[in-house]
Formats: sequence, C-alpha cells, structure tokens
Amino acid sequence: MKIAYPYPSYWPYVRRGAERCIHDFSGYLAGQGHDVEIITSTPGRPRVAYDGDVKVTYLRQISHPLMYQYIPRFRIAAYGMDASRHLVRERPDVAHLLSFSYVNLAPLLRTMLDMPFAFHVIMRNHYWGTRYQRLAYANLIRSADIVFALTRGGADAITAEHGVPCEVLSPPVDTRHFRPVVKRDTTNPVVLFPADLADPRKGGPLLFKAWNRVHAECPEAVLALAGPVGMAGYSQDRGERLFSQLQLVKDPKARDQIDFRGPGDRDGLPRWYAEASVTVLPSVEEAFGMVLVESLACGTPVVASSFDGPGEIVTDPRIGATVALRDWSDLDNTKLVDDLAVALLTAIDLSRQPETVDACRAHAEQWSLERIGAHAEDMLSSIVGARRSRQKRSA
Amino acid sequence: MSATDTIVLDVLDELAVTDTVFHDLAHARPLIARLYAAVTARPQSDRVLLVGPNVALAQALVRDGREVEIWQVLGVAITENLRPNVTRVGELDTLIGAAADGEPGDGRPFDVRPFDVIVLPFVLDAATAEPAVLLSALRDRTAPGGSVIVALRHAGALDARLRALSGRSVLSARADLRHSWSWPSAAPRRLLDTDALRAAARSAGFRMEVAERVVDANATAGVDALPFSRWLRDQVSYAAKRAVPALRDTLVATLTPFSGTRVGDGYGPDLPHVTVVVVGNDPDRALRTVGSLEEQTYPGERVDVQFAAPNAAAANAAVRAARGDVVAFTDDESRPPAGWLESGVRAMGEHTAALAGGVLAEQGSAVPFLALPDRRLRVGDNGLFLAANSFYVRDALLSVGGFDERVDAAWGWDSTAAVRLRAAGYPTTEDESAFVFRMYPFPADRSWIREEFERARDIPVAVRRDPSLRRTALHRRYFAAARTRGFDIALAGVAVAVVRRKPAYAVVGAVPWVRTMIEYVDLWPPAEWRTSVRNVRGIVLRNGVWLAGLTTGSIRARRVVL
Repeated sequence: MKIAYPYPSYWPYVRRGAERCIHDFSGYLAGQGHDVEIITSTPGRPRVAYDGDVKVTYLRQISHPLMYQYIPRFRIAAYGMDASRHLVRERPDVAHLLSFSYVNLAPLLRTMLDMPFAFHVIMRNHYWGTRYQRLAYANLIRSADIVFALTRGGADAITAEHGVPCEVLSPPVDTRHFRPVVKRDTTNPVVLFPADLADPRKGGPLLFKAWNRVHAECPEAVLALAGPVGMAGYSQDRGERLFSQLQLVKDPKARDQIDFRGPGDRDGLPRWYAEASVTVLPSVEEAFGMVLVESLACGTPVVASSFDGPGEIVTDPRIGATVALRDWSDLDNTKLVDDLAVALLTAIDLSRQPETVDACRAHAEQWSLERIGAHAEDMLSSIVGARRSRQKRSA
Repeated sequence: MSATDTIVLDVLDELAVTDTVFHDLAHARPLIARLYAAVTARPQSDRVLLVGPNVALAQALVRDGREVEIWQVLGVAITENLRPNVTRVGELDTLIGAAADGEPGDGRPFDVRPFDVIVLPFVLDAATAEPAVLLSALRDRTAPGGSVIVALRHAGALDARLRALSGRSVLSARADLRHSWSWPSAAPRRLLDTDALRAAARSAGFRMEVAERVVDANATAGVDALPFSRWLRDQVSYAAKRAVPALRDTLVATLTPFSGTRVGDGYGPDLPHVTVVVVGNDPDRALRTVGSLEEQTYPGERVDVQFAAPNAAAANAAVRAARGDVVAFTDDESRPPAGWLESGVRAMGEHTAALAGGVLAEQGSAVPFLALPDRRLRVGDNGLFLAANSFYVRDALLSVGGFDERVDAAWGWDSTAAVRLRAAGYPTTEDESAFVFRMYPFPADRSWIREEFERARDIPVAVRRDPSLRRTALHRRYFAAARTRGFDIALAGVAVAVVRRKPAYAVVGAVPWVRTMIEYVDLWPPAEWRTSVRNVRGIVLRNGVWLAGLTTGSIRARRVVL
C-alpha cells in the first residue's frame, strides 16, 4: 500500500502534535512494509530525505516579508497546490490528511484520479479565517473516504455537526521509547510543562499564577518549562509572550524555581517525563493531549482539563488530577488557579506512591503504537480495498 | 555561491529548529559563513571556544569534527544536540569574568586546556568590561599559535551614521531583545572602529592579523512581515552596504597573541636573558664595545654576546643563534652606558616587540654637516631602528622573518625588521632612556663620496619599503634633511633666475641654504676667508653628492626624496 501524508510542517522544523503523530504513524506503517511518503515543506532547499523507511519530500516553502504582511495565507495555499501537484505525480493508494494539511483539492483528486483519502480532524474547534476555508473544510469531511477524530467525544461532535460517520484514531505513543527510564527523586519534585508558552490555548499564564501557591506549599518543587517558544513560521511571536508571562510569578524565590529547558529532543524526553513528579497541561480546546499520554507511558501522573481530549485521557484518579477548564474564559478564572495548584500538589503526592508508576504505564497502554498503528493500518487498508473493488467492478 | 555558503546551507537544513528560527539563522548567514571561513582558515583550529553562540555556526564547526566548547549567553537559544558542548551558561559579563578566574560554570570538571580559536561574536561591543580587559582575560586561554576571532558592530556603519546624522544615539541602533535564536542580542555598549579594536588588542597582547568590514546579514528575514516602505528601505540599505565597504555594519577581525611578548605587568624581578648582537666589521672595535658591556647594571649571567656583519643576513643569523628572549643590537662604533640594557629591557613594557633607543654623538665625534636621518647628533623618535641601539623580542622577530635580506647592507637594512613587525600588528616603540654614545669617525680620504652617494641613493628605496618614514624620518616629507631642502631651493632659484633672466630669484632662493651654512662661514677677520671658502666648497660638494644620490635613488624607487 502506497500511503501519503501531506502536511505543511514536519520534523525537524516542528516536532510536536500533528507532526509527532505523523511521524509515529508513518514509521509504524513503513515498518509493516507499506510504502510511506511524507509530503511537507522546508524553509531551506527542497530535498528528499529518508527517516528510516519513510520517504520525506520537502517542497519549497514560500516565505517573503511582503507576503507575510499582505497575503499571509498565500504560503499555506501555495503549499496546498504544490502538494496536490506532487500527489498527482506520485499517485499514492491513499492519502491521510489532517485538519491543516491544506490539500483542499483532495476531493477533486479523488473524483478524477480515484485517489481515496482519509481525513483526520485534530482540533475540537477550527477557527477558519475565511468563508472559503470553512467550505473547503466541510467539503473535505463530506468527501473523505473515512473521517477520523482523536477521541470518542471528538468523533461524536463531528458526526453531530457534519452528519458523517466518524471513527476514532487517537495519536499513538511509542511505549518502547516512552518508558520509566530513571527513578524519580520525590524530595525535589519537578512539575513539567511540555507545551508551547506562546500558544495561548495551553494555559501558561494560569500555570504561572498557580505556581505562586504551589511554591508556597512546596518550596522545593521546580517548574520545568520544556516546550517550544513560538510556533512555526506563521507565528510572529519571538518569545516575548514567554517573558511577559513570567511576571505573573510574583515571588522572586518562586521564579528562581523555574527551569527554562526548551523543547528538548525526542531522545531526551522520556528522561524528563520520568524524572518529573507531574506533567501539567492546563489547556482548553485540546483535542487530545499527546504529552499526557507520553507522560503516563513514562510512569508520571498528569494534571489537565477535565474536558475535551484530556478529560477523556485522565479518567482514573490513580494517574492524575483534573481541573474544570472548559473554555478560554476559564484561563482567567481565579478559582481555577487555586484548583490547579491543589491538583498539582495532589499529583505530587500521588507521584510519591510506589504503585503510581505501574498504574500510569498500564493506563497508557491503550494508546500504544502497536495497537493504534494496527488500527490505522486496518482503516486505511479498508478504503484502499474498497477502491480496488470499485475499480474491479467498473472494469 | 561559495563552498562555505553551501556548508552553512547544509547545516541549516539539518538543524532541528522551527522554521521561524531557520529564517532567523538564514538571515544571519553571511556572518555565519564569514566566521566559519575565518575559523577554518586558521592553521590550527581543532579546539574552538564559541561564546554566544549561534547554533548554525556551532553546528557547522561540530560537523567538521572540531572540538567545540560553548559558553552560552543567557537568552540565546541552543539546540539539544549542542547541549553537551555547553560548559558555561550565564550573563555575558560573568561568562568572560569566569575565564579570568578559572572558575567552572557548573558541576563539571573544569577543562583548562587552551583553545586554538576563540570566537566572540558581538561580545566585545556588548559586554560591560572594556574590550582590552576581556581580551586580556582570554589571553591565557589561547593556545600558542591560536587566535581570537571577533565580530563587532563598526562605528562607521551606515545605520550608525544615519542615526548620528539624525541626532539619535548610535548605540540604540539595535534593539535590546531578551531572547535570541541567533547571535547574543544584548544592545551594544560601545561602537569601535578598526583602530580602536587594534589598540585594545595590542594592549591585551594581541596583534590584529586580519580585519575586514562585512555585511553581516541578508537584507530581510523571510519570515518577518514588513510593509512595503520598510522592505524597500532595507533593500536599499543592503545594496549600499554591499557596494560600499565603509558602510558595512560589522567588523570581523582575527587577533593572534604576540609571539614571545609578555603578559602582565612587564618584567618583574625575573629579568629575561638578553643576547647583545654587536654589529660591525672591525673585531677590535667590536671587542671594545663588548668591554663596555661589562659595566652594565644588568645581571651579567643573563647576558651573552653575538657578533654580526652590518647586513640583514648576518643579523638574522645572529638572532637565530641568540639564546636570549630579548635581542639587543648595538654596533662597534657605539659605547653603551652602564644602564643601557636594563633601561632598554624595562622600557620595552608590556607586549612591545621592538624598541628603538636613542643614539648620541660621542665626545670628539665628527659632526656630519649633512646629517642624514641616521647621522644626526641625537637620533631617536624618527621611526628608524638603528643597529646601533635597538631591542627586539626574539620570538616575535623570528615570527616575521627577521630583517629583510633582500635589502642586504643597503641604507635602512636595520629598520626592516621593525617595519615587518609593525605590518604584522606588533607594537613597536621608541625610548630615549636606553641610549648609547656613538663615535662618528672623521673621513680619512675621499671614500666618503662613494659612501655618502650610496647612502643617499638608498633612502628613497627605504621610503618605498616603509612609507611611514616620510612622516617620521624625513624633513617636510620630501627632503632628506633641512640642509638638502635649502640646497634644492637654491638650485631651483638659480634655474628660475636663468630662465627669467632675473638674478633676484637666485638671491631669494639661496636664503634658506645660506641660513643652514652661515655658521661655517666667517666674514671677519679676513684671515678666516680662506677657511670659509674651503668650507663652502666642501658644503657644495657634499650637497652635490647628496643630490646626485637622492635623485638616482628617487628614479630607481619611483619615490621622490630630495
């Protein structure tokens, strides 16, 4: 089976979220003997690289100061056109698109070239800027051979909104890579925040406010900031948001207990997770929460929202605590600041219990790469099989 | 596209950074490539210290298999794969301060091995401490034969000029960002030009080997949204900088430690070993000079003597054979006073590579009428490093090839080493406290005509070798001496008088010359007239010989000295 993953950004430029998901899926499928190609873009020179058995085609990314000023969406539209042209040339058996793959011509390719595609909805709410984008998104969902959501709740929401059946295909976690690689030091608990501070959805300011109280209750605790600062090229933020957020930690001693680590790399992340007492993701509108599953796979309890994707992950009090973060307004809610602090202290206590590591690890197994990867392979094989049946019938 | 540019592009493609960071680094690519080329051009660059750093530059050096140590300035982002190379993290000022103290930055054992190359991008102009202090702190961390490569904002950059013209502070030319994906982003505390950097480097014991103005960044970063007017302004500014080197923002300089010169407060109680080279062809006179050395206040066990004929090759051979750290030259006509060596060695001061001492005419010496620069009653402060009295740091002298043997024994051969040292960036100095007395012999026969002619002929050649002699050694830049100037003007007056048929021109033109020789002409009593006529005849003859020599030399060297 020849499978294509078009997505405008990929490693090494962005390594979290959708990009990590594509990496794990493509690696698994290539390991199963499929011919997998990731079609992405690069700010550098166009090239073809190989990540193991996975072919990575880097198309030229269009970047220009005037373009970002006057037609900022042109870059992504140009990528969509370029990727579509590449798909026509390569003719994969199936294309696995994600919400922001921007291959809006996929329904046309499906009709004209009989190229089936799966569409993976990776956000709870898509804030499209134009009417065209809204229509194109809806058209992709309606035309796809199969639609995936990251969680059951997400799938139900898609069906309710668009009236199409929707399967659940969660992001996998490689439990052989993410595992408890070191023994945790519970005397100096580390609270790990692995999300992007420049992304307002991730709740950085809420965490900093809560940190004042956590530090007062547990002065030896360290807050490790292990996320990227600033997102991909479309973001104009250069870290200013991070430094302004730090002002929310009023106590200088509490600020001294903040360790700015940066995003780290894939090889080092299991150690960071395993060393931490708790991984926190106080975000809203989170479709899933991959870092939570990675943390659990490393035996570390988590603190996250009780709604949306995280709410569907943190379902057992033995593996962490939740805070009722429903929407954007909750990120400014003073009461929830206290709730987050309490949840963090609870999770720190939880991390000191010897059975927590096994409980977390066992909970994460339901998203193991083997299980989720096999499910993805089945789903994609089914639509390729349906296409072949169609072709036989017409022949 | 150069090979260096291609290497940097390859590195950028490999780096695990977001595309925003990629664009930031690609924006800085011209300077990254320039610094990479500067490092790889060094004869030894296996072990490199990078302060800042810029991850693309660091990655390019690591990729080559170099041992790269990074001192990370707070706020400068770094990729995960380079973290093992980071040995220190801190504010810019404390990072370099720790170098002086030798304190480790973290729990790891402190690696005291010196570096082959230290790269300081935008450090000297941004740190609180003066550049000379920072460089001094790094001097001991630089391996023998190593170098320091600095990049800093130049005071003459287009941006600085425009800000100055519009009444704004030139130091505000760069925003003080707290976070950087590229170079350390601290705002400059000072702007230096090439001379200021050279002076700072000298006082820290470095010579500036290479310095060039470079365009440090592309016109715009691809990912930064810009309105058309701003974009156009950046393009025009970039084009201007490309076209006019004097407007370029950044100075990149390679500094190398002075060979064999000292660090610290000069010679303390441990005076260096000195080799005295006695230059001359007469063994008896040379031994007499050696005899005068026995009265020196300098410890005798730290002095040895070499002999050399008066030419460049022989002098170089003596230097190579010398055992001393310092080589002092004198000649067989000189008599060094008791404190000569001690004064000379102490006067060399910190990092000085060569010193010219004063030469005073000995009592009873002939008083040369037409005193060439090296034959004045009191020689010094004229850019000449005479064999009669000069001091050199032996290693520095050898590192520049010693005296220029192509000059052989021509006039000024003894100053050629100093010219080379200055050209290589070594500080040289003059000090009259280390003086010698020299006997200028009376000419015994007419052989002086040939000698004076040849010496005069060689002066324009020497000026061609070292143009600074015009300023330091010549009279009014074009005349060998005030008396040759007077004679030349007199001749010109005669010529004009002949052409215009007006004797008054000759009279007026002769005034300066007459003033130079009036002391040799006694008009009263009449018994002295005969002597005066003989003196005038001799003066005219000497002026004629000199003019012939200088004219011949000027034609030969294509440099006018009269």
